[in-house]
Amino acid sequence: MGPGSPNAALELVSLAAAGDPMAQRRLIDRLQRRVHGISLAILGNASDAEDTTQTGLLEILKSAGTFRGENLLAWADRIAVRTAIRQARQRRIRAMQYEGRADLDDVAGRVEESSFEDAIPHTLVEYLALLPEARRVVVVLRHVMEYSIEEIAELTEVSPNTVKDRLLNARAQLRRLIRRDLSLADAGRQKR
Amino acid sequence: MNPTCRQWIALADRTALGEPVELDDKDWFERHATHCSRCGNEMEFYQALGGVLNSPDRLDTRIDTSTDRRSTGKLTSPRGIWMVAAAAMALGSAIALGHNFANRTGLPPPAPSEPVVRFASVDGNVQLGNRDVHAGDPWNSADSLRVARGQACLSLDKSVRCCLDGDSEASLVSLSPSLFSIHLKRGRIVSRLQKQPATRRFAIQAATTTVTAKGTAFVVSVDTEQRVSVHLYEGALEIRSADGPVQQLTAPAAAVIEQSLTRLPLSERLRAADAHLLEGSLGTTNHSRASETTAIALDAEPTVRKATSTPTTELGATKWSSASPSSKSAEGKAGVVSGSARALLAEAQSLRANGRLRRSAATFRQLVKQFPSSSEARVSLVSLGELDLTALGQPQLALRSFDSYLEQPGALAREARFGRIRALRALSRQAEADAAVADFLRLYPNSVQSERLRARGATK
Repeated sequence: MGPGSPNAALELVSLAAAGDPMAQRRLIDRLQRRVHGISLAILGNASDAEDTTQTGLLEILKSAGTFRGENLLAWADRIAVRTAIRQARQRRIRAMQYEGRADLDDVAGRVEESSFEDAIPHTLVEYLALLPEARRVVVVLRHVMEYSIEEIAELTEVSPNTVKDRLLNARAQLRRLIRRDLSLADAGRQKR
Repeated sequence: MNPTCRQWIALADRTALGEPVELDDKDWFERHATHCSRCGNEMEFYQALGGVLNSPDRLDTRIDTSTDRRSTGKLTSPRGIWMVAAAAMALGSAIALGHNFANRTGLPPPAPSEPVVRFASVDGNVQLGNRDVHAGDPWNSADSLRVARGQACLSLDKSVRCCLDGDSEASLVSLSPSLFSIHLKRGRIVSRLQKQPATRRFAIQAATTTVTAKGTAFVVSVDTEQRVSVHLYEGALEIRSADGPVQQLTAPAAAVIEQSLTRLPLSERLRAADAHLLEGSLGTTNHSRASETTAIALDAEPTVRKATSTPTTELGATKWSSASPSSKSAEGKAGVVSGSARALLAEAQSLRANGRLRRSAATFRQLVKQFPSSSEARVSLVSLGELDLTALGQPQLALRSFDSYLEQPGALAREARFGRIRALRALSRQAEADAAVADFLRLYPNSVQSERLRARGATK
């Protein structure tokens, strides 16, 4: 029986639910990296993500008795996402406000035809951290987790239209940030 | 920002919202992203974001947007490629649905020589997006094709025929003169190809794997854990997995692709499981009733008998005649597969993962009957009980399985006891259920199930 087979997953989670420390260790080893990725994407900073990863893994162990052999990763993802959203709300992480500082599209437009950059100047998590929490959550759920608008609405307890608004606003904000950074990089290179 | 970029962004946003779109202007969408740095960078950003779940380290790395990579079409991951394709598909459907972006924006009109894929036969519950599909309908939208039960067969200009099995879902990634590609989200698909034009490739994408074929017959399946299996009956395949090298497979062969590719023999058991799908792909008669006929001979020879003779046309597709039918059905064959307890357990698990629950239960039952004292049989009792109880609506059989397991309780005793309570309730044997609940609470006072049982008791 392969470690990835549904029955193996059911047995592993069942043993973990029954308090078998080896099974719990194996389950955590298997899910830890993924849960950390979800936490980091949703919370936007590493130290909060560490705490949330621990909480998420504990939630997964606590919920192990409810696992019925469905897709293990999808089941664990959902718990990790709910935990991260709850943590984000509780801590009320305040994102840096980059919106509305300048008409960045105008700046970007001046260098529209410039050559490609070798890399977008910041890391993914740095850009995500610049989004307000509600927008960041929607972007992560849609583009990382690939949940539908309806699923996101259910998870975040808002209407589908609100999800759509948040997603479009987040995408517009990210677009402005990326274009601005690339424009600044272009300008710096031209000076040199 | 120039108007073309604004239009590109509007369409990208529509895609992000999951709005229905079609194929028509995909070339323009892709071309624009490859020569416009700003739109290309945005696309790279979301592709990188899409890969985070499998590679969380990407969150902390800068996104490479070098011209070479993008202009050569080598994107960050197969999933990235899929996202580009999905975005591309998103474009045209806006046009087909009456939004007519092309007229409003001056985008180029759809190419006139686009190939057309049609449903050659449809049997069972088959939907494209939210509408039912009928034989003869074209498949030209980005909507998901869902085959809840039965089978749906597609054909492309008499040279490609694909059949999706029940409980499968797929979408069209690309349909251009150079590439016909299908994304299999779950379930199984069989493909049969005649010799293809030199300029056209045919590919199935499943999870992070792309299977590319020329002149071949093969089955691709993806399970709930996103593991991809490939069974190759004729010809050769090229398999590209997430980060691994491109690998060649020559018939007869099978492979499972997880982190890497594992080659397996194309066993009789795998052939039996594929039989009804292979039959469907021949396009002979009513191939929806797999239990009635088996067109592919499942003998001990290393290859399936070649399934090509004089083709005739059926709804624009090639009608393939087959080798002489076997007297035994695919279902029957699968049902009498012999082997070790371990092999039967693997088969039952695989069937369950693919949503073939009745056959999975039958295989679990066979395992319990054939190898009653094996550890695999012990484990199977709980799985079988769950299947009977939750999926097949047979609480009496479920109760029997749970009781059998509890005669010599093992590591899954708590699951079995909890299942037993639910089975007794389903059978309205309330007094016995109450006694079982009391036992359960005494044995596992702090379990999650106990909380649920107490909560239910409190609400009575």
